Amino acid sequence: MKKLFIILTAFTIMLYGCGGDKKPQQDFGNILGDDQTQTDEVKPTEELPTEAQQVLQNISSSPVEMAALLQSSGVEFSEKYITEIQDVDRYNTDFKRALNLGILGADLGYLNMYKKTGPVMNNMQAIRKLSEELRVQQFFDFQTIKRLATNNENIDSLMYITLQSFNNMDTYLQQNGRSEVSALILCGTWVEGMYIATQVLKDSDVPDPDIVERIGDQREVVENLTTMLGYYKNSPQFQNLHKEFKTILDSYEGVTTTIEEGEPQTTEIDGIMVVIPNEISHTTVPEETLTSIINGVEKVRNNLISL
Amino acid sequence: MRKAIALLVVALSFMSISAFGQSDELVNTCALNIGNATYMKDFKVKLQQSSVKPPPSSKFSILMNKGTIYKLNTCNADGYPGKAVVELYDGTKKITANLQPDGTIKDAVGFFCQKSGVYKIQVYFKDGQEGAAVVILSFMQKK
Repeated sequence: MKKLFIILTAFTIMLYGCGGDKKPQQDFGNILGDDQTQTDEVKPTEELPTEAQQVLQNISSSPVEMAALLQSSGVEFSEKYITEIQDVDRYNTDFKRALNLGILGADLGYLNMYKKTGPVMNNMQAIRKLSEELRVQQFFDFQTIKRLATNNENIDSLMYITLQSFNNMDTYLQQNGRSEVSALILCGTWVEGMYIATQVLKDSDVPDPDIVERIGDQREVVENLTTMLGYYKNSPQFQNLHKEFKTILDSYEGVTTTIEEGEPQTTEIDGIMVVIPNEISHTTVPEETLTSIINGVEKVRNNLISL
Repeated sequence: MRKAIALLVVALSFMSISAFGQSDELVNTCALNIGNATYMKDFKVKLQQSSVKPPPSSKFSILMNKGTIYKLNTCNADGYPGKAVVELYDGTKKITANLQPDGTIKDAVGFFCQKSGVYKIQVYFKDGQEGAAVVILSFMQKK
């Protein structure tokens, strides 16, 4: 009992020592990110137009969702689907760095989802390098990530801290006039997630229908990304990237979606009420279209990593 | 998941050099409530008291995928009277909300997505009171 009291007292002192006076009202200015204002001497070369920012906000999605689908579909992990990390120094412009930071972020999500903590450290080293050069390293607590990656029991924490780091970085970039970097990271993340999933389909004798449908459903995302990239009329690099994404969008020709009206339901899962809406979408991807998407994504992704 | 995140929260409390600032304390605490789901994103909302009807709100867009169960967990910041009401919309159609017909507010609501697309999350504080809250979006893959 005495020991417990000492521990609790020490814990309290340390908390106060670290945190200062406790305020009756939680410091929500900080929670909203006001404390994240960093000195950044580099001004963006081109600010994303308002319309494009809206698109960017609309399509923000998690890099681990696709990996979660693969895992739940029984797809085995394969290191061959992720980027081979060799020399990230050759990414010598912010354009290349941001795209490849996104690619590495998607790979990290894939590794975490499959609890492959070994390769995570290589991946994180590359992320560290690129994030430092992009001046966003402050959002990654590399020491904690390293500690978590060496302990397989903390894989959920590892996933949480890395995802939150990417989210905080994204928010910071968008709020501090660097939306173009955020857009490029998003493009890289999306392409890599698609690359992993489409390579899985390419290697499958019988493609999993849920993965095929998820690939088909990404048409809305690639439409938005292509539109967003099209807002950059003065940057040759963005123009080229826009062309690349347009080829992926064109490969979606033949994908159809129908909506089936059903009955809305509710069910209890994990102690909470879950709503199941009445509209169900069915996306069909013809075989030749799927091949075209697989090839299109592969080409663009390989172009991005070899920039 | 809960245990692992709890350990992380404690660890982060002691770190002198941390990428996390005070800003994420409530997010870290709230993430303890997501159960077996995987954290996806957090939304931070702070709104002043308002007598305007309907009360002012914050809106967020999010891409959701068919076949995925999403959870929205809400945590209100200490020291504010407002309780966050979270609503999920497909276009203009309200799909679900944590405010119940009897006026009570649930800490979490779930949504089993059957149609991939962009959905809107709207957050306001009940009765237009001043409030600050964090909403955690997490997901579970249904197979």
